[in-house]
Amino acid sequence: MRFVVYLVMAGQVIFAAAADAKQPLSVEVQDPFIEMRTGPGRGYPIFYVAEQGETIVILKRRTDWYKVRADRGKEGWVSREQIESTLKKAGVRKSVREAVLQDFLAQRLEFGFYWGQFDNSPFMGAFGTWRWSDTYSLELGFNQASEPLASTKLYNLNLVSQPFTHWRVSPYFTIGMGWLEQTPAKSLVQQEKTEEPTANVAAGVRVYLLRNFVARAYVRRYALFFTDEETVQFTEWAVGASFFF
Amino acid sequence: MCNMNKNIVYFCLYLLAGLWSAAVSAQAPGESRAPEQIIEPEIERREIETPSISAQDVELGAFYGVISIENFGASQLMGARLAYHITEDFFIEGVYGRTTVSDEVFRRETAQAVLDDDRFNYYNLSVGANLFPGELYLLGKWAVGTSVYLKAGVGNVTFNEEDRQSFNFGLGMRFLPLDWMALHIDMEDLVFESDVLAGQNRVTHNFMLYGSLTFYF
Repeated sequence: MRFVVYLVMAGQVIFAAAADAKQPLSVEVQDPFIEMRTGPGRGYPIFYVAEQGETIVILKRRTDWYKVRADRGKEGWVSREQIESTLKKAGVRKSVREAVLQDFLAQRLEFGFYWGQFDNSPFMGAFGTWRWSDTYSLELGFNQASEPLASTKLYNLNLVSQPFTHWRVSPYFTIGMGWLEQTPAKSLVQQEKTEEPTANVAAGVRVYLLRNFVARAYVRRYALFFTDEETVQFTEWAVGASFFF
Repeated sequence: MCNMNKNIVYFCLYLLAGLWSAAVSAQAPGESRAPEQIIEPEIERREIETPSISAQDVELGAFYGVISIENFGASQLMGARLAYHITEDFFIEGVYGRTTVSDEVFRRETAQAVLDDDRFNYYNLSVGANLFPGELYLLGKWAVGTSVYLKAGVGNVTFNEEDRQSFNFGLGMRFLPLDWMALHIDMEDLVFESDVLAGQNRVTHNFMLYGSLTFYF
């Protein structure tokens, strides 16, 4: 009976704290104890143990560790598992991990990097994506290919369609256009810089790994418009990673 | 789906517990032996906001040190680094660095310039693994969090107006005097093919030693 009342009280505290997002989240320890470490990792020593019934304030998160302040001002790092079991028992419906995931799925901006081959020369690329609906987004990309014979820069603006947004492994398709700049190496006789418009299509796959972190891979086909009659095609593949913000 | 079910179950249990305690406390007064402070669990249903806990997974900072460029001697190196900590064990890091290379020795020896441009800059993207998290005790008084990490990555070097793919391998140590601030010491090898001297491509190893100051946010 008394336990239930306490449970309800703990729930009210959490609801009240959660409703005001600016207020740090304050919870009561529900496990027999939780261990506080000096740093956010398994290798850091445990220096304090907060007991059942003690109130802790969750200050911030780094990777899967939460910095908390216990009674008497002790501050330390607690693992996600321990925080989660306390929150769940106290009546918060979502686990912290789910909450974080949901937060990030609501985000519209994504930023990432690629490494791969562009027409047999290695390249690195960076891109930013703005998602305006569940399945469509705009992608702005910059690639730099470095090879013995030329330096190539590619700028792309692509429309991205990701039909199954909520799949963990989710395919996507892009179509777009852009610009190519190619500077021949100094050792070559022909020193003319090439600047041409391009068009491209690509198919790829996104793998949601954890929190706001996604792994990607794609194959892209470029058409380069030299003149009205002449086009040259290139293939590019890459692997990469991206983050939601 | 399963999680949703679980959440619904938790929520129902919670509601039931609330209702049950209300029912019990309504019946209780007649039977209770001692006066007890009773709390009316009148909870209005409200949409639960998920807890918003600020995250500090991103580390941004600047570095300064020495780079020894093969055949060209050592020069001062500076740059910026941006890391994202995926888990406590792994991170991804992007680095941009620049230096100035001097071909003075060649000009003196052969009266001929080797370089058209003395700017040398690079960027790379690395994956890092934290190896030995622990603490360092300074003067037996202050405990400073530390960790040793290995990192490896790919990138691009612009040297003598040419872009080359580069690979980098390094070992670093991170000190955390404060939760939101870190000091690093890194040793790294930047490997790329260069034809600056011989006229033909040759793999060059370029060692770097640098210290960094970074902030988490």
